[in-house]
Amino acid sequence: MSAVLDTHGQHDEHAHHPSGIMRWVTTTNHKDIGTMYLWFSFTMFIVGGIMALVIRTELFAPGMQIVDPDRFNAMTTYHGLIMVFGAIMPAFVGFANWLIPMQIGAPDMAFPRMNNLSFWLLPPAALLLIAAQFVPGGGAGVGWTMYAPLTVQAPMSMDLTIFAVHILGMSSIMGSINIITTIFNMRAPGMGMMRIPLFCWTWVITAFLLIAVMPVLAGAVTMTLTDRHFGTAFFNAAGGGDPVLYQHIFWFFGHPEVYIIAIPAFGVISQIIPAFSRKPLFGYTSMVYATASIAVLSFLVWAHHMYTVGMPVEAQLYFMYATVLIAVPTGVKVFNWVATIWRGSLTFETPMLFALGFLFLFTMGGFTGLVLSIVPIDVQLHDTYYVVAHFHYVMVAGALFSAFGGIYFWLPKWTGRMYNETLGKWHFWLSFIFFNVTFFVQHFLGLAGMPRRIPDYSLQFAEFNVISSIGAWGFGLAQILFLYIVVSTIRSGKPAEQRQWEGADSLEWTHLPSPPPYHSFETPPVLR
Amino acid sequence: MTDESRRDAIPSGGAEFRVEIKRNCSISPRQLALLLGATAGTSFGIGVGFAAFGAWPILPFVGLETAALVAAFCCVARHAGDYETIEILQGTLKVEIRDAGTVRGYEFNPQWARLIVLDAGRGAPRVALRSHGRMLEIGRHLAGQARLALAERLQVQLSSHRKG
Repeated sequence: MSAVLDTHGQHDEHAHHPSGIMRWVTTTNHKDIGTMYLWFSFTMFIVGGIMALVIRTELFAPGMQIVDPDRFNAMTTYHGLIMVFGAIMPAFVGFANWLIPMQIGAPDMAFPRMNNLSFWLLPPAALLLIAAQFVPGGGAGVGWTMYAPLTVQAPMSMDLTIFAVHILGMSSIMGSINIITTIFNMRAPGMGMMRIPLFCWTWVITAFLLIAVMPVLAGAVTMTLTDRHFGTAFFNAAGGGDPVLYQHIFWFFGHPEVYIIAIPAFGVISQIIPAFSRKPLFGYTSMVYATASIAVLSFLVWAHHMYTVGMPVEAQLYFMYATVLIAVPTGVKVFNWVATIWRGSLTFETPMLFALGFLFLFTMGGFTGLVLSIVPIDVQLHDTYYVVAHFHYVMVAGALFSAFGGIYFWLPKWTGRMYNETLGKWHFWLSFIFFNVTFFVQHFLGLAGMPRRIPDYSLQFAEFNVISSIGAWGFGLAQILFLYIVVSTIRSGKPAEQRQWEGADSLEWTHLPSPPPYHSFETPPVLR
Repeated sequence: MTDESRRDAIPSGGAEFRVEIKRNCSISPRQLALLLGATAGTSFGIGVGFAAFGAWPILPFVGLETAALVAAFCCVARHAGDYETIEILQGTLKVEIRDAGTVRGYEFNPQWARLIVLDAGRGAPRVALRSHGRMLEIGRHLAGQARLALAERLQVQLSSHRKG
């Protein structure tokens, strides 16, 4: 089909694209795909959250209440897997899809079709993870770490889980290649690597981390699969294998995975804090190097997760000191955020509240991480609720609060509509308070010796568990408010300005209207 | 990969109209090769390390992933130097296209050449030159409206030629 040139009336770009469900199935547009990632992530957050509530309801009182121990263990396993791989990681990939092309002055991602495939691999993987709990034999109660030799004996749900992990890994690899290629190849003329917004830098580093560790995870679960079905004995001690090897392999992936989640969260916070402090980010260059240092160090500390497995004291000392070293670049980042806030012209809209909540609680999670890095203390606290409290301060108060802050920050840009600030603040304070009610007391439970991954416990732990369970329900219900805020913003929010936050200075705020056009930059912007 | 830059070159050698459109590529093939080497080296280092302890199945996944990375980077590098020049010189409309290292030249009579919009009903509009049964798509390194803007400018030139 062709026509002699007549360009009048061809400026309605949306008219050229499929509508309805096919728009979302076939889309190669980074904004559509970013939106799908974010909704998928929220859906998985609800699914994983419901599992968390089942766990906390069971733990409301000593004794067995609503689920049997096998179901409890399966819930614990899939809560972890779904939250890590289905909720938090896709949330930040959603941010990456939405923001990276707009922030570097590109019209889209480098490989838009691959981008589409990266997303559409996620729903089948999520279905496998959910379905795994309903197959004969029940869910695999092996923990999200999938330790051998328990996995070798697990029911067929383990195979579904392995397949899901493979699919999620493929999606991550494709996403990483896309992000690396986009940022390195498609920056607007004049935008050197040391001029890209810090969010883009954090995603470059995260993408390299993913590329380095995803084959390790794929190999680990493949060896588990062959041990289960093909007579190998990589991890099966009965056949001469070594279960401890699995732990080394898993944590070589698993520790960088923590930073794969945390580093994009750092990027979001590094965009929010300067905007509401009305100051440039303090120490941009040192932030980049600190982030890269954290990424490099994350490869060198994996065995601090397994001090109690049995290792030479020299190895324990090495991993302890290397772990403590991570506090240095992390401290640089926290210092720079505080220095950005220092003497800034501060206002406390919802994104800033979440950023400050992140700063406060993530730092606490970091400190408890330092506590756990000390071998003699970790030997006492290993596999207790102290560890559960620690990583939830990092994952929930860290990554999730950052994601909430980012959504409130960019929602006016994405939708062209402003959210209800009062409700946003309610969401923050409810989340902040109930989060601490849930998890702060778990430090005490851990210090008192309550083991993790148990459905029943001794009477001495009862009071703190009641408090924690009430907090969990409060935190869960607060997220319904978040859903209401987002949906009401999309449907009936007041129109947002191009530069809704006057302190925001990246390209999406300075060069693009709210909402941005379907193709962000027809030609790259000219940067001075 | 449609992020492109356009440069309006100063008409030289008597050209009445000249536009050079280059693909916007913010990394050189050499830098890309270094990046690939470092990434693949790290991944294989990790894979070989684990293989030394018996966990060899990590290596095939490293290989697969590196192959995907190589394919993506090759795709980028092959097209890093792509360009289109469109000029009207001595009564001839000349188009030179470099695509993945291959340079092809096309000539049209500006009196006869017609600009047409392809697939305007679905996806981004594409613009082509048509004359004597031949058709050549132009402005491929531009996105959407910029492509139409180029076409409008060229249309003005072609119209003035027809009027003499």
